[in-house]
Amino acid sequence: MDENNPLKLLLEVVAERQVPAERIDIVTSTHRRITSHLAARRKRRTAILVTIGIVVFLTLGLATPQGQVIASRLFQFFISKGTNVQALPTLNPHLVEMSSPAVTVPATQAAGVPPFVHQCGSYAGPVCSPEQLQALVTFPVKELTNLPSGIQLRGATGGPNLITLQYTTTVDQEFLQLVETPWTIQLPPLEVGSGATIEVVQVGAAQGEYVRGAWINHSNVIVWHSDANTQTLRWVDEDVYYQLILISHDGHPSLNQQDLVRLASNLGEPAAQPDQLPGGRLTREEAEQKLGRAILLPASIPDGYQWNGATVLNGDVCLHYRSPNGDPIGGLHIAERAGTSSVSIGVDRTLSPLAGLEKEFIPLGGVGGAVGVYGWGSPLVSAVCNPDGETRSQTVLVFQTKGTTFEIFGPPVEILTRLELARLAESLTGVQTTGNTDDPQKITSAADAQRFVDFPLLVPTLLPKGWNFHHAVADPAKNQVTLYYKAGQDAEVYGAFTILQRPVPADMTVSQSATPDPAPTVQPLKVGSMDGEYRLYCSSTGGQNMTQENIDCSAEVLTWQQNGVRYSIEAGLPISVAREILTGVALSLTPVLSDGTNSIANNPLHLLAGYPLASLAQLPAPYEAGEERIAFSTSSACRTIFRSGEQSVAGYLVQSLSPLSPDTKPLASYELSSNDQVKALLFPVHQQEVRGCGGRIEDGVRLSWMANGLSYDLFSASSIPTNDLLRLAQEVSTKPLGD
Amino acid sequence: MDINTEKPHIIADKREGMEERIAIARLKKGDLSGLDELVKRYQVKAVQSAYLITLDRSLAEDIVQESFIHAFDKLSQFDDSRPFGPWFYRSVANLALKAMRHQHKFVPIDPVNNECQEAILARWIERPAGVEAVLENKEAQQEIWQAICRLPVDQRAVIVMRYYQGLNEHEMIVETGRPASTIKWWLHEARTQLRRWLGVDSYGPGNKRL
Repeated sequence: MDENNPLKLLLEVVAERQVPAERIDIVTSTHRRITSHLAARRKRRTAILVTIGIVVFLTLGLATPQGQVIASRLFQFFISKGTNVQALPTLNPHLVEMSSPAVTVPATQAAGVPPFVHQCGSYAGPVCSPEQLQALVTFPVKELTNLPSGIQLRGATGGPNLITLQYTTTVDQEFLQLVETPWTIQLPPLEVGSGATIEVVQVGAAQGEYVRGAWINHSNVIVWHSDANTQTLRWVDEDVYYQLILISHDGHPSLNQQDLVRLASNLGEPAAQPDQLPGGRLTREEAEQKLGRAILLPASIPDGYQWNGATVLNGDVCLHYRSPNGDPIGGLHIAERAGTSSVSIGVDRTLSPLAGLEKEFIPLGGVGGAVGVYGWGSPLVSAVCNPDGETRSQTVLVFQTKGTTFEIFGPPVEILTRLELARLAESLTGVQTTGNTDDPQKITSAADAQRFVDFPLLVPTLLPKGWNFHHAVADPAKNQVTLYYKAGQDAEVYGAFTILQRPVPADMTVSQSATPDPAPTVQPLKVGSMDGEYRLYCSSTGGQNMTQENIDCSAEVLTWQQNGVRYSIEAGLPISVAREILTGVALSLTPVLSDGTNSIANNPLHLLAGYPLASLAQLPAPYEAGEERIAFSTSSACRTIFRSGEQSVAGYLVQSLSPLSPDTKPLASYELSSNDQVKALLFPVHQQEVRGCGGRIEDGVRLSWMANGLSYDLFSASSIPTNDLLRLAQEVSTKPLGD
Repeated sequence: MDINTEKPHIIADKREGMEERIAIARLKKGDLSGLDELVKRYQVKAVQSAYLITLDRSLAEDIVQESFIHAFDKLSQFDDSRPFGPWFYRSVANLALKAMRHQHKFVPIDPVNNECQEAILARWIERPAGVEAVLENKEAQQEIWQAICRLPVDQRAVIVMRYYQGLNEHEMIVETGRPASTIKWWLHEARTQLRRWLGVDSYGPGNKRL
C-alpha cells in the first residue's frame, strides 16, 4: 500500500490527535494482566499434572526405587513466583453473621495450635520425642541421625498428618526443623522469588530440591531475598514428604547446603530416649536430699500440667510444672521457703519499665489469716524459681501454712484463673473451700456470664470471618463482664478483642476515663446514634520521635455508653482494619438470650447497612460475586467480583448513600438503560483505595452511576474490559433491590 | 554485505528486527521481559488502531492487552522469520471488531465521542479542502475525525485495517472471517462515504484520490 496514501495519512493524524502516543503506556498493566493469566493457566496445568501423576503412580507404584525416581521428578517442590516483589496481601475485615456467637468454641480450633498440643506441646514449645510421636501417627516417623556436635533435639509435636522435629544448633537463635507428612500429591510447591536458584540435589536414593532465600516483609511489599539466611530442602522418600529448614539470624549459619543434604540423607528410626528433665533440674528425691528435709507437693495440679523438676537455692526449693502446650509462659512454679517471715512481691520490669502489679486478698482454706495475696501483672519470680533469669510470670499467689511460705507463680489469667490457683494452693494446705464454686474468670457462654451481672449483656452478631467467642470473665463485685473473642485457624485477620460491659453513673461521659501511659490518640466516633470515642495506643522505639519505621500501634479501644452501660471493645488487631472491625462489631451488639444465642434474624447485613443491597446472585458469565461486606465507617456495601473459577479479584462493586466526588474528568459516559435514562460515567483510577472493600486499585477505571437513590461504583484494575463493566452495571441497575 | 556499508535507516531497521526476534525468543522461553519489549514497541499503533475502531480509549487499551495475551498463547505458531507487527495488528483489529459487535446496545454519549454531528459534517462537505490542508489544519482534523466516527463500525474497522494497519484484502478476509465480497463492499462504502463527507471526491488541484 502506498505509504503516502492520503487516507492513511489522515488516519495517522486523527489517531495521534485523539490518542497521543505520549499518553499510551500499557506496559505495566499488560505485564500484570499476563502474569495473572499465567497463574490461572498454571493452575490448569497443575490439575493436569496431578492427573498424570496419579496414573503413573498407580501403574508403577511408589514402593519401587524406579517409582520413587519418577515421583520426585513429577513433583515440584518449589515454584518460581515470577517476581521478587509481591504486594502485601490486603487485610480483609470481613464481618460475617454468627450462628452461636456467645458459646466457647473448642480450643483446638485456635490458630497455629498443633492437634497434639496436649501430649506434645505447641510449635513454640515442642516436648515430645520422635518415639512418642510415632505412637500417635500412622506413617513412619524418622529423625536426624549422626548429628554433628552441638546439634540437639529440642522436641517434636504436630498432628496426625504432619509432624515437626525441632533442633537446636551451636548458633544462638538458629532454628533447624524437620517437617514430615504423608506424601499427598496435592501438597502445593513452595513459592519462591524469580531470583531464587532452585537446585536439584540427591538425598539418598531420592531427588530433592534446595533453595536459599526467603520472602521478607517490608512496609508495603514482600521482597524475595536470595541472600537471606534461610535454607530449605524438600524431598520425598518412601511415601513421606520431608522439609528440612534452617533459619539463621546472623550471617554465619552453622550448616550449609552440603551439611543439610548430608543430614537429610541420614534419617533413621526414632531412638528410645529416657525421660529427661531440663538441664539443672532435680528430681524430688534429689531436691529433698539436697535440702535435707521433705518437700510438700500439691495433692492435685491443674489439668494437663506435668512435673518438670525442681531447683534448690539457699535452702529454698521451687517445684516446676510444664504447661499443657509446653509454652514457657504457661508454666507453673511453686516456691517453698521454710519459715513465715514477712513477704514482699517485687515487680519484674526487665521487659518493660512501665510494668506493674496489682494485688488483692483472696480467701484460702488452711492458711494463716485465712487469706492469701493474689497478684496480677508482672510479678518478679523468686530467684529459686528463676535460676537462669529467663522465667516470667503474670500471676502470683502468696500464702503461709504449716510453718512454710509458698509463692505460686502462674501464667496469664486466661490460662489459669485466680480460682484455679486458689484450688492449687488449697491442695497444698489440705483444706478445700473452693471445690464447686463457679469460676467467674472462665465462663464458657455469654448466658452463664449474664448470671454474674444485673444488667442485660450484649453480644455481637457479626464477627470477623473465622473468629469465635473464647470465654468470658465476670467480676461480680464490680457488676461487670468481659467477653473474649479470638481468631480461629481460617481467620482472614488475626488477633483478639474483648468487650467490657459495666454500668456507669448517668452523668459520666465517655471521655472521663483514666488515661494510661502511653497517651492514646483519641478520635470521636459515632456508634449508631451514640457518641463514642476511638483510642489508639502506640509506642515507639525512638521515644518521642515517632516515625513510620519505629512506631508500633498495638492496641485500640472503642468506647461508648448506652442505656446506663459503658461498653469498651479493646483489641489487638492490624491497625489498618481495627477501626472498621470494632465499629462493625459494636453496631451488631444485641442482647444475649437465655440459651446463649441471640436473634440474628433481626440483624441482617442489609439492616446494618441501612438500605437494600443489590442482588448479584446471577452475574453475566464469566463473573461471580463474593460475599457482602458492610463498611460501617463509610456506610457503604462492597461486593468483590471474581472471574469464575479464579480466586483473584477482578473488580469491586460499591453501593453507598453518597456518591464519590468526581475528582477527575470522565473518560466516557454511557446509557445503561434506555427506559430509566441511567447515565454511567467512566473515570480513570490511579492508586485509589476502594472504600469499604479493603482493596486498592493501582491503575484502572471506575464506572459510576446513581439508581434508586443510591450511588454505585464499579471498580476494576483493568481486569474487566469496559464492555463487561457495562454489562455488569446494566445487570445491577435493572434488578430490583433487596432480592 | 558488510552492515557498516548500509544506509543508517537500514541498519536501524535490521537492529530493531534483531531486537524483536530476541524479545520473541525470550518470550517463547517464558521470560516476560520479552513481552515488555514487544508492548513498548507496538502499543502505540495498536491502541490507536483499536481506538479508531472502538472510539473508546479504555476499551482500546483493554483490547490491546487482551491481544497481547492471545499473542502470547499462540506464540508457538508464530513464524519467527516474519515481522511480529502485522500479525499482532490483525489480532487487535479483529478483537476490536468483536468487542464492538458485543457492545452495540451501549451507546457512547461522551461529549468527545458524540460530536459526530450532521452539522459539522455538512460544513465540511460545503467547504471541501485538499488533504495537505487537512493535515496542517487542526479544525480540519477535528472534522475528519467526525467523519470517521460516523462510519458504521464494520466499515470503520476495514478502513483502519486497510489503511492504518496496512493489511491486504486477503489478510482482512482471514482475520474477520467474512467473505471477500463483504470486505470489498465495506471498503467501497466507507471510501465513498468519506469522499462525500470530506468533499475530496473531486480531482481538483491538491486533492488525491482516497
